[in-house]
Amino acid sequence: MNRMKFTWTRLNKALGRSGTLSLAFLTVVVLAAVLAPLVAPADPNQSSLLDAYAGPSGAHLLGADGIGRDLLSRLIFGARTSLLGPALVVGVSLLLGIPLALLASWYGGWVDGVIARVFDLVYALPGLLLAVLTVALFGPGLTPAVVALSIAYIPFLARIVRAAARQQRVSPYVDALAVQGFGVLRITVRHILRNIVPVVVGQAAIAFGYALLDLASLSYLGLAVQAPTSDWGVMVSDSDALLKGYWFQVTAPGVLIVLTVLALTVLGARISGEKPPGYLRRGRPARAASAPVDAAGNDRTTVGAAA
Amino acid sequence: MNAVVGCGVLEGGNAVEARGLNKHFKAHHAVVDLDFDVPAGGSLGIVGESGSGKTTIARMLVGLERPSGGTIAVTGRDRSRPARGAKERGRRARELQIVFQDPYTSLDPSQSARAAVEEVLRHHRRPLALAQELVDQVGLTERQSRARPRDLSGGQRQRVAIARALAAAPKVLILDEAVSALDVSIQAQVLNLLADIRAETGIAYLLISHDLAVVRQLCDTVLVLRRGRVVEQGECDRVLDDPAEDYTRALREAVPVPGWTVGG
Amino acid sequence: MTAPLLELSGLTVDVATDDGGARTLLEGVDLTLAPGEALGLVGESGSGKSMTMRAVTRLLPRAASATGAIRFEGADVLGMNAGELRRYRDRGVGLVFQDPRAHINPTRRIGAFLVEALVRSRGVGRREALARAAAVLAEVGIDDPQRRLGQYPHEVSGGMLQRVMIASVLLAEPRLILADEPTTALDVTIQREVVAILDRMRRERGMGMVFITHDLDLALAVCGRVAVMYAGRIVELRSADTLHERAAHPYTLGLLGSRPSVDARAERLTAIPGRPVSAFESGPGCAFAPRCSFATAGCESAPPPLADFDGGVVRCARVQEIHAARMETKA
Repeated sequence: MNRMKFTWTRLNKALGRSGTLSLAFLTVVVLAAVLAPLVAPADPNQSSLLDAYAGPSGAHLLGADGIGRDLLSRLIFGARTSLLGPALVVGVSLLLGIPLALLASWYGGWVDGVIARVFDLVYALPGLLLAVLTVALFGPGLTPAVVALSIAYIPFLARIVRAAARQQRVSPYVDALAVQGFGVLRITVRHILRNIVPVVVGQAAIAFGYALLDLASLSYLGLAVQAPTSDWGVMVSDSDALLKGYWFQVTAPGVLIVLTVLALTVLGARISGEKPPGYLRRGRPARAASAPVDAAGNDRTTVGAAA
Repeated sequence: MNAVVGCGVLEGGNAVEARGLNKHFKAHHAVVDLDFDVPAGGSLGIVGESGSGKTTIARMLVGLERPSGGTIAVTGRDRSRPARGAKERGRRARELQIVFQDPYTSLDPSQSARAAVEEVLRHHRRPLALAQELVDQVGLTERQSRARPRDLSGGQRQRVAIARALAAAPKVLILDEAVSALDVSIQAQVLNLLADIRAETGIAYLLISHDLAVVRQLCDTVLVLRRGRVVEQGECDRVLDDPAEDYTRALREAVPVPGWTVGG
Repeated sequence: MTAPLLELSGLTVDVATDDGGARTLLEGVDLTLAPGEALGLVGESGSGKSMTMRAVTRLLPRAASATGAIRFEGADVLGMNAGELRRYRDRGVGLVFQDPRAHINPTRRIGAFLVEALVRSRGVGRREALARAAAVLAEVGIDDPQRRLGQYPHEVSGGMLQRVMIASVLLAEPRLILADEPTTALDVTIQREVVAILDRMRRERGMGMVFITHDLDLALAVCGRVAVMYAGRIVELRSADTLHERAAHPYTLGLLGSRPSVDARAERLTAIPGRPVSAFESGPGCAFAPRCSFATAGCESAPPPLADFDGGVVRCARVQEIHAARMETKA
């Protein structure tokens, strides 16, 4: 018990209250997705026309949709497809983006220049547009959408990784390792990458949120996940329910999407972001103090140096 | 202890030989026709002010910069060209190591002293048991050797950097302003430590510094550098007590010593 | 006796920590500076030398609070309101920092930087201000001041920029200069020139100066009196010309023994064991006791007072015995 409390305190300190809350929410969502067959009260595809647009009741905790499928179960199973897509997108982007980023940061010069320009080029293409084009070429479905988004997301992840890795690259400790005769692969993976893990994880979480939103939009448009598979994006697109005034059937998956993306964004920022420069955080008073900058900025009197 | 740590004395000859060394950065000529030797087991100080090219020399010796001209030989083996292959890199690493100036950035922030030393030992296929001796040799406690760099003071970190360099059992150690960033009382500890290590192991030092007093304390010979060129070189005592060049004299006289007055 | 220019009594600085506690950075610092006097503050990391200067200018970090008294020409600095504080910073004190580049706007010309305060808060005409700036640049040994006024900070060397900073301080004609490691980032030959300029300007204009440095010998050369600080307290204060012979505090002795000499190689430096600590890291007794070879059990329990000894003041409970023992070994 004590141990749990300790972990909780540390988590709170590292992520802040908003970060911890986000993490808790995401944990619940992921658990629900993984354990869907165990926790869902009903089969998500079992329809019963008698229950069409049923309100919340003992039989259907959140009610049912237009053909009487249990809404809660559909939301829970929907989490699976809704999370799987972005997970694939982020996974593939990282797999391709990290090596490119490390390559660029290590060699610098023209290698860096070429890779950075390619990133810029891809970055300039809206991911959704790329996905729509791919779907137009290969037909709708999750796979083409994921492939297109994976490519579109590479620069989003790799540019940050490159910048962070570059910072490490110019540190003397990397020179020291090179002088010890270690190879490029070992130094970049075992040392540089390890030291920028928080940046990678944080940015990946944010990318995950955006990918979830993009895929949901594509599913909404009928270009990615196809009905009748339960998916939050597909569920939001239930125009029949909306037309008949059953707003809850459409809003519930929408709210889940928004909350999940929000939680991922907050958590990502918390993981990768520097905390505000608290005085004494490192226990080195003379370095942490930023007073002269303040003084020069807003209280210029005698001289820049003096203020 | 020296047998264990393994920085064996070279049989005579020079630990480092540089001949006709040059380095250009675009239009800037950073190092000009430089010749110098570090005798086996000896200690050479390279003294210069900012922009003298002293750090460029260190980086060329360890292979972080490629000389534009001239040759470098360490323990008799040429290293004017970049190393080819892992084997050659490893061999060069076991000949020459370096300790950098800034104790805050020269260690991997996620690696403890012990982990850093063990990684190097493993890389050079040396017994891991040596880690303990290296940590002891540089005067780190058990607790300090397991701590991350951010929990160590500047002096402690510099000890870690020294232990990591010694773990490769080099014949020569370059100290690139290695004590400049330390507090006075810590600087003395590290200077004593470096003197002890040399006495025990017979390792040769190449000390790069702007601080004449530090050079005098640690070096047998000294080379005064200005804008990439040698001003004067020779025995430490001779050069510092009886400089032949005006520039050396000016450097010497600018050091605040007891009785030194402003202006002068 | 003239009234002191600056007087610190019982100056203590605490900083609030994230977990609601407080850490002491400076503890009971007493100092007086006469008009026109130069005083050195010497110490290592955590000694509080820079914090003292920050307190004097009230440039403390937000989480820090100062207690005790700081008097500048009799006025209570800690009690000043915004207007008084501005006036005090404007005309009272001028600061010279270690890294001039961090304290000058890189996008503005040196001339604009130098005249800004004159034009804006003194109502001096722009042309007149530029003329004054050029004159002061010449005074601090800068050739061709007219050209320099039109240059940007990145176009000049570090030593030159430090002279520009000194010129900017001089333009404001303060009564007190606070110089915090003003030459640490400079080459020794440049250090010598910059220190000489500071010293000459101070003498010519009768300004007081607090010179903060880690280099004891440099402080001795520049200042009339030197205060050695350790862990947020002054441990020894004496006149510069007698410090080498009469240093009595074990820490001062340790500092003198630690520094290698350019004149001769020491068989072995007499290093002080351990590392310097900050005030909040020290125990109830003498902060230096854990590193002191003369310390007894008593040293660790009660803080020693700052007491007169051999022409200076020393904060050491055993100073008499240590001195006697040293004299004996010498003889």
